[in-house]
Amino acid sequence: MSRAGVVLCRCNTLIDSKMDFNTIERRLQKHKNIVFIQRVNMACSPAGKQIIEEMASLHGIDSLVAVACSPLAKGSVFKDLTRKLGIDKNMLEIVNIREQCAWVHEYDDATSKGLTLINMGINRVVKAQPDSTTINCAMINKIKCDKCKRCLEECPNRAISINDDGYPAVNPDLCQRCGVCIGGCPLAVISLPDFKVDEISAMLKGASGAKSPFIVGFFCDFAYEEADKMGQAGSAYSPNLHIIRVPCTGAVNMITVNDAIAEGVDGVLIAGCDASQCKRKRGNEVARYRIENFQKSLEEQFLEKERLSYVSLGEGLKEASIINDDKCNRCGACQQVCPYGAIKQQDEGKFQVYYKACRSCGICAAACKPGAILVPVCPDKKIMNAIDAALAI
Amino acid sequence: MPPKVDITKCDGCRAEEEPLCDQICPGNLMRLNEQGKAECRSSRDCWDCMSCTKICPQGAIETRLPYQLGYYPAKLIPKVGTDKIMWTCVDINGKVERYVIKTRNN
Repeated sequence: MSRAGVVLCRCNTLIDSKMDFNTIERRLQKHKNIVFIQRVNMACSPAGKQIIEEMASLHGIDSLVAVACSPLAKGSVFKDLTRKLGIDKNMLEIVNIREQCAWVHEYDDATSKGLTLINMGINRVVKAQPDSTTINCAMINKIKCDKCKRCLEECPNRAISINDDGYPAVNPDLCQRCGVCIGGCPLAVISLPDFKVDEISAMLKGASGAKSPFIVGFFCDFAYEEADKMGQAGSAYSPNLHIIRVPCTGAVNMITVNDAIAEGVDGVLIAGCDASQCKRKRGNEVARYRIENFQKSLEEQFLEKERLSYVSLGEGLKEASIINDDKCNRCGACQQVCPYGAIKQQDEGKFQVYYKACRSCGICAAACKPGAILVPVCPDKKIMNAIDAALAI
Repeated sequence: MPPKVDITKCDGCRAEEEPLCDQICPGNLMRLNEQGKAECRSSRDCWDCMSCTKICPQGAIETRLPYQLGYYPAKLIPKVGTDKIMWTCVDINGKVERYVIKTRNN
């Protein structure tokens, strides 16, 4: 039996004016793993932290569920707090009900979705185990591993090698904590300190009793940031989407999706970076491959393949650099300086920009001696106008 | 009835020395052929335990049901999660039923 403390942050009425905290408190009271539910005005303020510390020492909790803003906004505050309280870092779960719930949904929808999200968070900390290791890299459970060596091939950083005993071992210096090996492992024996397959499966158990259709979104770190930005911009989306943060889209194991579908989740959405621009090198490439395979097996089971779908962010919204072929003297300097490998020479000697790989950094424009490259985000004319305006004052 | 391997899906567990179906098979019946795909070396010795069907990460192996249980269109497809298996059961008339069974893997 776990002893979890729940902290509800009002965020100085920014959250509790948009959703009903009384209903949430009343519904959570019956939960057997919760020791206390504390409502604080601002959990990140010194006064709020003091209240949490007092309640924690009074009840002797071993895990903390912080129901507050995004972990990207004030996550470090809660991490420091748990370190001070002597709670293991794995036993903290931050439930994001500000950016992804209260600010984007109507009052009643936000309340019911918030309750589901909190239940998912509690399920996760109940399942979590304290972990004494301080090395922050992927870990392999040797008891279950059967040495199939799939993780060796999937790792984008070549951080995994075979030990003398035949089991794979992770090099902590090379590991970038992207989790692509976790997604690839057929037996789900690899875990990161803050991302474990069985914890995610436990979270999905909170789906029961929620409004149908229940859709789970696995958002990579960068997509999660974008979802937060949607909340800050105040744009609304469907309250059926429940977002779970994963390090990379490649970290979503298909065993988790199996669990979700067996649990009664109606649809799974996986959101990541643009096709060629995965920040973890090739996470979404392997994710797409796995998703295609899984969609085929869904059809074999007489389920619709749309139940698992992939979206990538920012496709078709970019403005790539343009090379003016009349001015170009074919020196090839742009190809050499481009950090993303976006400029390639064509067969007839022309240089061309692949818009999918281009990130409009402008380095090629600076390197081009004849001035043939135009960066639409910041053209020379715009800069000269700005200089003229500055000089005119 | 022996397991049938879909060779378009099987990747031979990336051609390592022992694929997962070989490791799990209680009769040690599975092996890799020259093309690096899994195959059953002796189909008459198979017990229909479905271990290989459940372990295959690509979902490439299908265990044909014995004719006493159901003719060809009948199928039994497992999907393994962390602590549960979802069985999709199709009978000879094409009726689909699903069962979720808890396991004790953890």
